[in-house]
Amino acid sequence: MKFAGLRRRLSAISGARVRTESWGGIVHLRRPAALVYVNRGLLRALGHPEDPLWASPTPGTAHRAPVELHWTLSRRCDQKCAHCYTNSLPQAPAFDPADAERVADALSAAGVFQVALGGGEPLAEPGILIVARALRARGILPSTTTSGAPVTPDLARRLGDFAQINVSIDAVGPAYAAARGHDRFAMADAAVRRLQAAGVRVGINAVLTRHTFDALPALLDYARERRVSEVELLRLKPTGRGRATYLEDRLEPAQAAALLPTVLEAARRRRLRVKLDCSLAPFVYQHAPDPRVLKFFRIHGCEAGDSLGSLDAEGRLSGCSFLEPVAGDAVSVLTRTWSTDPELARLRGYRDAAPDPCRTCPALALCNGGCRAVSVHLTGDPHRPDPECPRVRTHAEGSARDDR
Amino acid sequence: MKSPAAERPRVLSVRFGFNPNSSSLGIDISFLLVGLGGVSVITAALSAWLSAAPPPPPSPGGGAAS
Repeated sequence: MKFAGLRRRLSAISGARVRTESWGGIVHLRRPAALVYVNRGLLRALGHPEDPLWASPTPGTAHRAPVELHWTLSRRCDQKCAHCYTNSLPQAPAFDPADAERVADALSAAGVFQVALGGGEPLAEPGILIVARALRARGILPSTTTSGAPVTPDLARRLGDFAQINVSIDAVGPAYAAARGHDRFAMADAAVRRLQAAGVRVGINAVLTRHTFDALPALLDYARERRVSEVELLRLKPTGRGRATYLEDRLEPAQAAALLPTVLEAARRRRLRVKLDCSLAPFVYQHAPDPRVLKFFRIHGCEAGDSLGSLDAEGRLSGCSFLEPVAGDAVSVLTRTWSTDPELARLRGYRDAAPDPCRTCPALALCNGGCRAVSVHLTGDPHRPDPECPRVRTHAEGSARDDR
Repeated sequence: MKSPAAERPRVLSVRFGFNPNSSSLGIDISFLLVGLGGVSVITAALSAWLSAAPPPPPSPGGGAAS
């Protein structure tokens, strides 16, 4: 009876869902859209019955399942962007939508709250609306990112199941073509306007390179003008086609150092919500923001294999889209062995056995070592510190001097 | 040491919005502009929001996944 009372109480708060964890649990609010991490005391106060996970007096910090899952429906895309991280092609195998209900059931059983559907070009996949509907039916909120190419006015009107759709726009005007290798800014802008006209919540994704960094203010002006809900800035990743020119295209150290103050000032001036992707976290921590603010708003680094999981187009599960899949059936790992899988445990446990200079870094607990995709590309080992982190770079330079 | 049952109700952290990017997680640095004052205000607002839920609807509804 008490449990039924909690269900009624939480569903009355704008369709909230709750999932228990060893420290308490996560309440997923629809309005405001938020994942609220609460302790056991608050869930008890809300009427939640005792949970076996709460038996320990010293709760852990790891999630028992992903909170968010990134699901690549296919690597099929005809845009041929220069830095495509999945090396997508016009012809590639795709997820079979006949399997949507089964996978959605597994995600629901695992307690996943949000799913970002990716590609390839996800909106060109005929099955994406079936997948989105299957997720919605289970209270899981789907979202996606598109180049904008498939977004006709008719398609835009059929995307009501999506909580948010971001359009990839690395820069405006001629800088778009320089970044992507083709001039389709007008296409992307049309997609933004069509989605907004259809009532979809729209954001912008932009990959940062040393060539687009100076074009950032113009992009943020555009975002403000279009009144998008947010801009997410992404670090270039050395995967897929991005690997070939990574060293020439990645941010310069001075640009990375200037990123946070530049973006914060731009966000303040334009009253714009700006996100950075998790791989840029080391360039946030280098400015030593108040750790209490970082912790409360979950301004974290790598959460691969902890709150984040990824499903590839072949149905294999990994800790993040850039990492090798783990062994075993994805559904089984999601629903039964997420906490015990050795590779996932190693990813989330980086902080527990971190090498220098991460070991003594005050941001280690939040950062968890920087971006694993960059580490594996530059060092051959995903479990080495991110070599582009300013602290790691300084440490390496010091070691090189000592060796001389 | 306090027994677990006596744990004071607390909001530990929060992540607002969605993350449509399917290759990495978004971290909302806009909140660095609000600082510790923002933490206090949002903690209080979320606590009140969760604690002062409206009366339960007449029949159990969907949405709660616990």
